[in-house]
Amino acid sequence: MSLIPRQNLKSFLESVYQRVEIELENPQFDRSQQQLLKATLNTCYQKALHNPQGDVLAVFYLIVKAWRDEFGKQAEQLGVFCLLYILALDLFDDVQDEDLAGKSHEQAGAAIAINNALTLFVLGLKALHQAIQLEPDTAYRFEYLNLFHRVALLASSGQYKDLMGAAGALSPDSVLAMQQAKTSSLSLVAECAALFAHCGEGNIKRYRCLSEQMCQLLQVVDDTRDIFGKRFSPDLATKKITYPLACFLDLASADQKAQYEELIANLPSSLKEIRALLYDSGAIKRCAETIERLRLSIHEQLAATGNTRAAHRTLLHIVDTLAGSLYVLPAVESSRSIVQPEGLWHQRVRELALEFTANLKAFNPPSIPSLLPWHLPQWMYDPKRRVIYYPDLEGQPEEVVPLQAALMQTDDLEAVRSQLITQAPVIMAHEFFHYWRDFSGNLTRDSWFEEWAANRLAIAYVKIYYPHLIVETLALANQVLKLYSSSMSQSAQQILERFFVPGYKAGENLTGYEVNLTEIALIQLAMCQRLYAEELSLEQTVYQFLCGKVIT
Amino acid sequence: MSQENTKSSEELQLHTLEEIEQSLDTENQDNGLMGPVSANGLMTPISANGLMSPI
Repeated sequence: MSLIPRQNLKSFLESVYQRVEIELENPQFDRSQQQLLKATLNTCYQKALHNPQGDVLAVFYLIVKAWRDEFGKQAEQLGVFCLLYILALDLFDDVQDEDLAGKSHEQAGAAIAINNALTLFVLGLKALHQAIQLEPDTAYRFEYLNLFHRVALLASSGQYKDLMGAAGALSPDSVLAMQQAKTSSLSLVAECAALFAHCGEGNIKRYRCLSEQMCQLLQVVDDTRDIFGKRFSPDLATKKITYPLACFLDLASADQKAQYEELIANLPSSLKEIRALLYDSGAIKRCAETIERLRLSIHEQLAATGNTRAAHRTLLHIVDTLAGSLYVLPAVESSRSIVQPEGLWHQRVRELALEFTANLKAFNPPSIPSLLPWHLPQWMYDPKRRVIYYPDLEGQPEEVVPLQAALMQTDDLEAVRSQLITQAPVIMAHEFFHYWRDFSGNLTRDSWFEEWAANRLAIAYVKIYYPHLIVETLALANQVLKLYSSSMSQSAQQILERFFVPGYKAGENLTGYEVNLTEIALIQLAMCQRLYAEELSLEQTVYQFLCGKVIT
Repeated sequence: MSQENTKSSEELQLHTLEEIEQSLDTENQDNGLMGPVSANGLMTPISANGLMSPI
């Protein structure tokens, strides 16, 4: 019998969204109201399906998962409450910011939208009531209500200050406090999870504290993204005092402020210059320092729970990914036991890296990079952090194995996990070669070229050191490709053919993979199959792909 | 994280302006691997700028 749970983050989200959809089909509502509410839900649902870790309910799931494996109806009902509460507040916010354009309520208008926001809010309360009835510990029932009252009032007070605009918060600290209040729904989600997990009073307080810090961190990143990540910045256009701007006003000289006023009048064409001005003023550095202070505290709070389960690592990964968009992340000692766990699989991955460098000693390989387990099915080399991420087959198999099982069209998750462990030397070689190319200054900005290079190197390597394993791996690839050969998209076929055109070389521009994860896997497998048939000398491929540039 | 940067927060190594624009870019991340989430979402890239295994 498989020890791998069937429920994972994605299936939990699906259950919650389905429950909410049922609530929205309430026969009391006019059909058009049902449709508007469902369209609002669906926008959110599509994003959740695309990136489950990006959904705010992921925080609920991960906190619960750190303490218990069983979720059940009460957890789903709490998820329904949180989701409806967030949808309601989002819709209120859109009406207040006159930001309905392009959204489900654009045609219906503000009056209908505000009524539907209230409807979502009341449905949320109904869900909370049902969740409380399912709570076996009567003392906790009141805690859910206390939490709701506290967070909802905090949110409305923060929203009021935000709506005050220039008459409201202006200093960096007051902007941060206002934003924490405004985005407190994340605290609601985190504390609901902590209450449901029954993880003890001290830990509930820790989750409260870290979720408040997450709200702030998220908002600073989001405000920075508004200016630096969009072609048109709504915040600059409406002269909103967000955190980066509050920092700028605090740090800038009179000349810089005057320059800013001139540039703001020339938006959107002056956006690039505004970015440079903010960056040069030290405002973005201040944002980074604030984020780092919050990140450190979140790591410490989570470490203080004493719970090192993999779900906590994913939570930290989310925080680190957000923070890492602005600066190089310093190591955090307090959370080391969460981020770098012990265990047979983790030990095996470290051994494989050692084995690799020992086998290729003659070529002077670089020292082993950071090896970090994560919640995703693919291995990945991240050049920014010089980290090889590998799927956590030990702590989170339910998150990483289903994709491979689906590719192989099997339900036997244990068998799939076992195959993945067996094939690990091949994948480790592939990832290590990515790192080696980076280390030797050969890494290009063309992702598919890099896959081609790493696959050529890895196949030349495993043909010598793991000859039986590569035959097994390719047999498995064959099976998968047979299942999917007819359904590969035209884009995927074209990408595959590119590698075998004589004179194939890297493009100059930064490119992504252009297709989804499943198709990436299929292209890689088909590529490996064809490369295996070629005569590849390890010496020659090492010379071709790993030499000739500056060693950093 | 043993081999990561170990500077104190006072010496944070800020990315360049171009790198920040690239990592926060919400409009050029349509390769099916990552994407912005809702206003209240967490918006973590699935595999931002990483190089992936053959799975």
